[in-house]
Amino acid sequence: MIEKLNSNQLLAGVAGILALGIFFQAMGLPSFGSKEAALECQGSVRSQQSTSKDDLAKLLQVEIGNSKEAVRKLLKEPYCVLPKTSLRTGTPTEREVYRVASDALEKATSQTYLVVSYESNQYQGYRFWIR
Amino acid sequence: MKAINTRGIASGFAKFGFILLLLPGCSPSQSTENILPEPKLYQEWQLKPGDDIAGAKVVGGLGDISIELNGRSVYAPSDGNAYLDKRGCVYFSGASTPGYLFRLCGLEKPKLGTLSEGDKIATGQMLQFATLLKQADNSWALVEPDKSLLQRTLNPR
Repeated sequence: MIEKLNSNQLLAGVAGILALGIFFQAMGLPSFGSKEAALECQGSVRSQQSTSKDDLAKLLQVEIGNSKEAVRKLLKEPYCVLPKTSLRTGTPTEREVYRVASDALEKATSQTYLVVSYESNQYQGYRFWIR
Repeated sequence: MKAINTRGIASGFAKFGFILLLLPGCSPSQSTENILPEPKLYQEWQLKPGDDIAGAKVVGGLGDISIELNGRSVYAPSDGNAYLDKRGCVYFSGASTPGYLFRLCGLEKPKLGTLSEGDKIATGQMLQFATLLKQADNSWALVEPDKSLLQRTLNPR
């Protein structure tokens, strides 16, 4: 009886190690030291702000070089703002983050953000950020 | 009773071995999915890196900044993705820098796919660095990279 219990415990142990291994494999972590990507919001975060899929569809039609006002009119106030950065000489790049509206299930599994960038008040493009 | 249990353990180990065999198959392959067609450039110059002139190979073009790496490493300037074109140049697309692509030629055995800020991309002898900015007509213009961008690319975190 004691022997049986031990072998069951061993099985449970192996299963546990396996589960952990599969978990980390699924998470795609190359090592324990890797950090998770995070949005480095600067200043206030409008946590209630989210962008509807209809507005998102409209943004995808906006051409590069359009005014920031035109994009802002469409997307309203951003969820948050990323720190200003310099990618090309003499032109600071502004980046604003929008949170894509999602249902409860989507929220539990992932959250999609949209990073929109401007230079000299001109729209430069977007990139999705999925968490 | 005892015999059944040992068989159970044995089959458990067999399954474990089976899953171990499967794991390498699950890891992302870098062979085809990170290959990028060469972006269409806004500037149409006669000679570009990779071309041939009088039997000699062009390694740098107008718009590239050449940096003597001498075996030093280059790092991801932000979170993002690295791709390769058929010429062997690496393209880095930052997760929070829409509209930009950074082209790095001259690297050896680069790490492709999803990278975190500060991750080593590769080492090299002579780096040709170019900053590409997407234009309204979907072409990519060579622009002058800011020094801070190059510093982030050349310094480990």
